Amino acid sequence: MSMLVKAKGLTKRYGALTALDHVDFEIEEGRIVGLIGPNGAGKTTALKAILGLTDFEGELDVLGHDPRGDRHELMRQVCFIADVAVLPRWLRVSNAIEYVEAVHPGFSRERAMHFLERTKIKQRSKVGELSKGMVTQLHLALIMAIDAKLLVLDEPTLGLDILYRKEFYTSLLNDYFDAQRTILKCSARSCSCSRAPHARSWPSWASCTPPASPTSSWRR
Amino acid sequence: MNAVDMRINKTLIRREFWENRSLWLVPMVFAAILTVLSVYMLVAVLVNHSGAVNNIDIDNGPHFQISDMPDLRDASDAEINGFVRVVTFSLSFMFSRLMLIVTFFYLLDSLYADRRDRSVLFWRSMPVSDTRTVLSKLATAVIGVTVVAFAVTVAFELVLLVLGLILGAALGTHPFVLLAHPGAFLSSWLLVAWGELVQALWYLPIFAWVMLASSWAKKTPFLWTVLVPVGIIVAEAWVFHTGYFARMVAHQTVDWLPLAYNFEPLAMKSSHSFAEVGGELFGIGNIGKVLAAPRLWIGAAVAAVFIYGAIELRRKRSEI
Repeated sequence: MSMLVKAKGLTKRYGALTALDHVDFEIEEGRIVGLIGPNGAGKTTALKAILGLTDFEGELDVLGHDPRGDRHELMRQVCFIADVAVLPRWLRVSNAIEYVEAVHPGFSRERAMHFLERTKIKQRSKVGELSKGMVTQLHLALIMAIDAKLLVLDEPTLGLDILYRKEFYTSLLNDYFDAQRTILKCSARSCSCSRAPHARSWPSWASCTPPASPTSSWRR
Repeated sequence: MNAVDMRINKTLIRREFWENRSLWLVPMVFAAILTVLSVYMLVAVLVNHSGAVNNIDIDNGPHFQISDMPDLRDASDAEINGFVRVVTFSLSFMFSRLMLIVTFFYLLDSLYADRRDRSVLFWRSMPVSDTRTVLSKLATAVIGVTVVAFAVTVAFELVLLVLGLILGAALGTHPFVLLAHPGAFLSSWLLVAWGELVQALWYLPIFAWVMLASSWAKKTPFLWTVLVPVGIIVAEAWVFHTGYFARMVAHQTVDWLPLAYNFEPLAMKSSHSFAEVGGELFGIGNIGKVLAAPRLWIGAAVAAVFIYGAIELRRKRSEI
């Protein structure tokens, strides 16, 4: 098992506030890793550092890249969904698919359509016309249709109703997750992961190996 | 550049047109309004016209005399060329002014709107570098907008030609002679396209400045775009009692014109001299003049610095 993410002395300050203070962690390939902590614990900051969305101090290696400089290279192998619906209101569903298909070598239109068929989302709709839950569904469909090594989710199911949320995690585990993939998920609440967190301070980390029966052991 | 890169670039520019519908809607609506007005004028003229009436008056509109209208059969090739050129250039000039305003507002939002609504998090989750994103937006302003505006202008001019033919036929000026001179139209359009290209090059540093402000602003990029240069102008006037900066900016917007074309502005003013604006408007020498202009290269260097800044800010300041 190789390490997908290696962080050493990761530090991020916003003015006087220190969001991350010399945090060390490693994330192994083929695992589902939960990043758990209360609001303000620095979860999102850590994710942003991994995704190249923020500057930081310390060392951070994600799939052999420094996220600060090679974000676009990294994004060929890393997908992420931020905490709230961030698709722009003017974007048409068909255009969103066309866009991702053109710029992302790992995107499969068939897979995206497969996910979208299970929703009420129409190709002609604009994001501004969709409900909050449907925007999340659309975003998930786009991202899960990408063949990536690391999938990062930042509270992705907040806008979803309970039925779709369950379905989402089922399909995430059955259709998406396998030994070559790693999922890093961030949540203010804990999930029923089987391993104890292996970081000493907030934010803490929970990791689980692929569960035998996904729906029963991976639950919110 | 390989096929994949081409496809990505094409999609990035199309993305800009999906988001900013004004880039193609504004010139089309403008052309539609002008077409309606022209049809109205045509009908008004045709209704008011009869063989006995030589003066045509349209309520609150232009007044002209039919005897002023030349019989095109008597016109020389040079006169027809000049006539087509003047009409084509004035119409294209109108559209190009309009598109400068549209482009300004497009660029103001280009690196700001997606940070305001946080969709930048989605766009930056795609394997597209910030350099490429910023350059695609600049290319949209310089190439995309120009191509769209040019296509709409040509289409509108063709509509106007049809209306003109109808009018001319009704007034007996034998307008179909014009159709025997397709070269006059093609060369005019080529010259217009050349002018648009040179103008875009001259506007590069201004466009790049707007993008830098758009990438920098935490709110109201418009204020940054306008207040910084105004502040420089005011400070210069106050401290040195001079106006070099204002003059420099003003010159950047118009100086390309006498380089790109052999304009004798007076020739345009004197009436009944369409022949004079004929063949002399452009020569190979104009390309040399444009390339030799220090403003072109200094402007490009300044634009490069601004664009570099916009890319760096895009990388570091992805969220407001």
